[in-house]
Amino acid sequence: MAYFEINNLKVTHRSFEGVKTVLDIEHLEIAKGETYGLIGESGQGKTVLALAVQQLLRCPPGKIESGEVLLDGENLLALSQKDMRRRVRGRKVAMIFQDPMSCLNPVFQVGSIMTDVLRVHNRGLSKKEIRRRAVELLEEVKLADAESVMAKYPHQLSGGQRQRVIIALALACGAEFLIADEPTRNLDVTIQASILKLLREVQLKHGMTVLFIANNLSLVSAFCDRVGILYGGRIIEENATAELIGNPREEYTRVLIDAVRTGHHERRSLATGEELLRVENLKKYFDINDELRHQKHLTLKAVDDVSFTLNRGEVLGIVGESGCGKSTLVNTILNLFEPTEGRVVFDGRDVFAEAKKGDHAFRRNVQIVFQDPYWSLNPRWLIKDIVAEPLDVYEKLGEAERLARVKELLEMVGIDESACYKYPHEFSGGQRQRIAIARSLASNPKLVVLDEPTSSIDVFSQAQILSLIQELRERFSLTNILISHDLGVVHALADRIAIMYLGKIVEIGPAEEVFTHPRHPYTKALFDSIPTLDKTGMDALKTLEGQIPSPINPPPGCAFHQRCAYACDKCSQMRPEPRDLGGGHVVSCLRVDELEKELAEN
Amino acid sequence: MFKYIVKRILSSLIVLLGVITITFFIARVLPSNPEVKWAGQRATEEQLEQARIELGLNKSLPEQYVIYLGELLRGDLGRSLNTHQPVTDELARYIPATLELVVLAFIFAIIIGIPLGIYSAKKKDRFLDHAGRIFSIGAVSLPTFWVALFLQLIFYKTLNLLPIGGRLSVESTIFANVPDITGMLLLDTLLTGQFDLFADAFRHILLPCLTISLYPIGLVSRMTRSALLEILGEDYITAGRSYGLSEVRILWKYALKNSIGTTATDVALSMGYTLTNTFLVEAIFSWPGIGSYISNAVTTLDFPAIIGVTLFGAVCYIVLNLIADIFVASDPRVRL
Amino acid sequence: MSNFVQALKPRLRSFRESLYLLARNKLSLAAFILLIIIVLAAVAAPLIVPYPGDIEMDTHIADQLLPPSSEHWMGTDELGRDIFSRVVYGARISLTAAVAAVGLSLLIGIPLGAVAGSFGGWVDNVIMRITDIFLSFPPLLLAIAMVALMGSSLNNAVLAIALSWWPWYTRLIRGQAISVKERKFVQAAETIGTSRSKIIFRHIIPNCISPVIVQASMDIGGVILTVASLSFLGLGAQLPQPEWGLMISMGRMHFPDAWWYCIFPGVAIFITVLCFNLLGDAIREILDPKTRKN
Repeated sequence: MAYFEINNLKVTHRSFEGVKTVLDIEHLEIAKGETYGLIGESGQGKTVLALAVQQLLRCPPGKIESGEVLLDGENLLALSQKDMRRRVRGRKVAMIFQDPMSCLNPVFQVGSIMTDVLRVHNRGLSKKEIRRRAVELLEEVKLADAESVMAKYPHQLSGGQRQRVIIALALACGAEFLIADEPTRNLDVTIQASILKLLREVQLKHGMTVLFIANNLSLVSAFCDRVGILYGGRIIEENATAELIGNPREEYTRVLIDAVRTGHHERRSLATGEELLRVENLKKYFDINDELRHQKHLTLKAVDDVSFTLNRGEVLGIVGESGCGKSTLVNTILNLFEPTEGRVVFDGRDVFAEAKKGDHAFRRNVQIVFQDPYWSLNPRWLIKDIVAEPLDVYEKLGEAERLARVKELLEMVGIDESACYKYPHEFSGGQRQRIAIARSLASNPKLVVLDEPTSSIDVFSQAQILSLIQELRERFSLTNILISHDLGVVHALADRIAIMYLGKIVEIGPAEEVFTHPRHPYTKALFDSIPTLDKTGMDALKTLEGQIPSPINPPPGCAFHQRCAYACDKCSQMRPEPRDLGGGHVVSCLRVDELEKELAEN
Repeated sequence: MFKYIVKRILSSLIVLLGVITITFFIARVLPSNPEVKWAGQRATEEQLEQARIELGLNKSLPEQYVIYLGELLRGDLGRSLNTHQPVTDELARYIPATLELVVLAFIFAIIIGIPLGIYSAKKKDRFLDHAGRIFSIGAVSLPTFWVALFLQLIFYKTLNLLPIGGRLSVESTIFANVPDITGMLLLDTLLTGQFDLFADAFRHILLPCLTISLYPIGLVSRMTRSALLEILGEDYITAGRSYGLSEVRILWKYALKNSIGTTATDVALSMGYTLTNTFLVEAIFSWPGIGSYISNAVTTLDFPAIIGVTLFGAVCYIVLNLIADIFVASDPRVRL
Repeated sequence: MSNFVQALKPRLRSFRESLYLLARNKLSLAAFILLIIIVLAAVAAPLIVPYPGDIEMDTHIADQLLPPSSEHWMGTDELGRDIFSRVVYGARISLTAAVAAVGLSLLIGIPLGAVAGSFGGWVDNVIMRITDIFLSFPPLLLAIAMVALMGSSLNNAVLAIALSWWPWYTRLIRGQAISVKERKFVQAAETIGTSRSKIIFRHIIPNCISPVIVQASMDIGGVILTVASLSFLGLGAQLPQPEWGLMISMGRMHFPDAWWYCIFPGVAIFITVLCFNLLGDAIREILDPKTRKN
């Protein structure tokens, strides 16, 4: 008999639309010590499963219709809440939740939360012993300075640190079965890799069995022995990891695999030599004046001295972790934020100077497609008005002509004209993104900024949106700036890429060149920590130690030196200047030549 | 934290200045012919002129405003049009009785309202929760002045258990040596050890106190319930359960501490309502507090008295909100 | 026409969803139905009451202060008027006054809050400081002071309530406007080059108004209480209007002997306000995204 087993588990959800089956699992089993990955996009029932196992699902509206969840031969669903609490939760089954922000109680110090949980499961121990045990656990999850972490409130910790605390809490009770529900979601890629490594380490040390829930395959391929694909509440395919990736049976699995595979897209460059946009020494600082923190006048350097050019027809991909300033950079270029310093020249005209004179021609020529199409479309407007918004500003058209243009635009992005009289919420994420693209094209712009265009839509639509963008680029000879943390997307579209770290571009160059031959240590680390299907096993996953420093107090010298494996003394003192290595490949690193030599010697 | 408190006090002072300005405008700009009131209905034109001079109405508005501010700084709220006595003195005489009533009602609100809210949240959607909710919604839907009459009907007329009004029975006022230390009878009788008098005073305060505490009880328990329910839906509560923490611990330690900030604000808010309700019911219970005072002032259009009470109420309210805000700011999330 | 129907569909859907959620709770459903009956009674009052003449001027000295009976369900007052007829008609006065007061407050509160939230900066500062000042009067007290000095009448009472009530809406809508302003569609409109006024009036305000309307409808119960309180103090409706608060105030003179005179108008206030509050509670729960999601 398997260690963990689910048989005929059926969970329904009641709403005004009637009863819907959200989970219908015929059979799932996990052997002792195994790591099982369950993959599904949001809304496919992953979290419902995790909660149902622990009997933590809210009923109603949820309802467990039938089935059994066996752990070590005992049916958990047959136990009372009291038994679950006394014998199962924490002791046998531990959970790690998706969002480390919201699952630590904000008003308690870490130490208090830790000791509380420890006390429940170690009745006999004295206060002092419990505290010691808590510190040990925090050390075990590699939190530097565990003693001081004990006294901190959750909001004083970074996302990665919080997730470590949560892992420590899961370990606190000595459970042998761990449910990890998207434990690295909302974490930066460089942090993500180190959390995964930590998980693997504690799993081995404590002989744990892990049910790993994730929304895409790349993480799982590195971490799990076996993988199941959850779609519409059912497990549609299940296999050993390598087998499943190499030989998928279901169409959906194939789409999931394609979505994370990099570098397989056919890309046709439209780049010309003619300059369209030039950004010179652009800076955007924010003043922070927090009365409660009684700190005076701090400056957050969100964009710190950025320069680059963009040629007509080119796609520039901007890559970086959250907080690196990529969105601020774009918003400043678009003149949505007042720039602190610097110049942006578009089509030979100084954007900021002309905007001051009240000339907004620039606005018409530059449009943006936002990440989340749910929030970027006004929920109270009809689609026809949404798409026509730019038309209303720049071309005063009659109602009939306006409607005709809207229909034309919608047809271009593959949306039926009947959409005109509907509201945004009647469309799926992918369709909404198409509508957003139609709107962005309404004013015939020259430059379209794509801000994570595919990251909040389902995998089925992602590939279609990408090919739609490519098609429209060719049709309208568009120039694009693409912001993304998804290297697959960047690879598919970008001619050149720029890597940002703490408000600066640390490396910029032709996409192929940067991808195959990254020169800045941060770029290398970033690329290495992104799990891909081509690298299986945990060893391929390189981790980058340390936290991302705050842009309020950036370290002196090279901003990256504290985390850089190759840093030397001068890195902490001198600011690296951008250096052209030839062919437009520019890197800001003091040791770029030495490193190249070292690499060649090895 | 200290800096925050100073800042918050300063902003309260600015708000207070605004409050004073508004009351000034209400008093001087809205048409009410105070001089007629002051000099009497049959006053001659000269007498009216004289009254205007006495009341300072012959000066320009800005001048009047400056004088008004100056007087306020000295604690002078003008003279009542009815009694020609300084409003400040009269207020000082009436405030203790009201304060006694409000503070006791407030205590009722907290010791009944908060546990009721917690209990309701704990037993969500069970019978007792529904009963508790109906009670608390009912409590905030009742016209206070009507509740006063209703309670009088039951406890005085029908059951003859409690007195209909006043602070003490007639015999006590005549024969006993009623202490006057703070002006709050319950406190004074306790201080002097006159337990008979204390019991008498308590019997008298019970009905008015019950009446005005009904609204804050309802409000506080409703707010506590919804604040708690919101918190009980948070992820960290689910997380706490998954670690095997007991429900008791989750409710009393985890959830309650998080809801304190919201509850504090609600309690301050409900205090404001208590104060207002006092104004409505004191007259019904012949309770000699500022409520009776303003009821009287309103019917006789005694504007300095009305403005005096309004200012007093606003000051109380500002102070309460200040305290609640400081309380909320002690939440670690806010402190950062 | 079909376009219009199409545009209406999603709204109907969410209306149906709301009804479903409302009907799930029997108590709220009962309150809802009762409220409809009260509103209908208020509208048709002169037609349905047994003694329409008693609403204002008729007097029947012989019948004064009769206890409740089959002829006079709630007894009669000191002028022999049928209290039941007057209580039913009172619903009309209270509801109209409350709706007018809330409507007026919205008229002041919404533009101020929307402007404060959308513009930010010093405009926001000035408006919000003024709002704070008005909010620092205990509820009702400012209204009492204003009516007392403006002169007692139902219209003045409504005006005074509106003048002391609007800051709540200003504050609420400002908060909404600030959060809507952060939404991407506003940013999208900015990149498109849509004018500032259009962004405020077409993007921000429509998206922040519905919670305010909901709040306002929930407030009607409280405002009915306030109107009755002012009338009770003699500051609102004047004789011979059959206003509930005023009736209780008049009944006090014959209390506790003619208890029915005070008690029934009070019951009417209680039931009406209770229905509004129960419904308000239900609406709040329905609109809570957490409830909706589950």
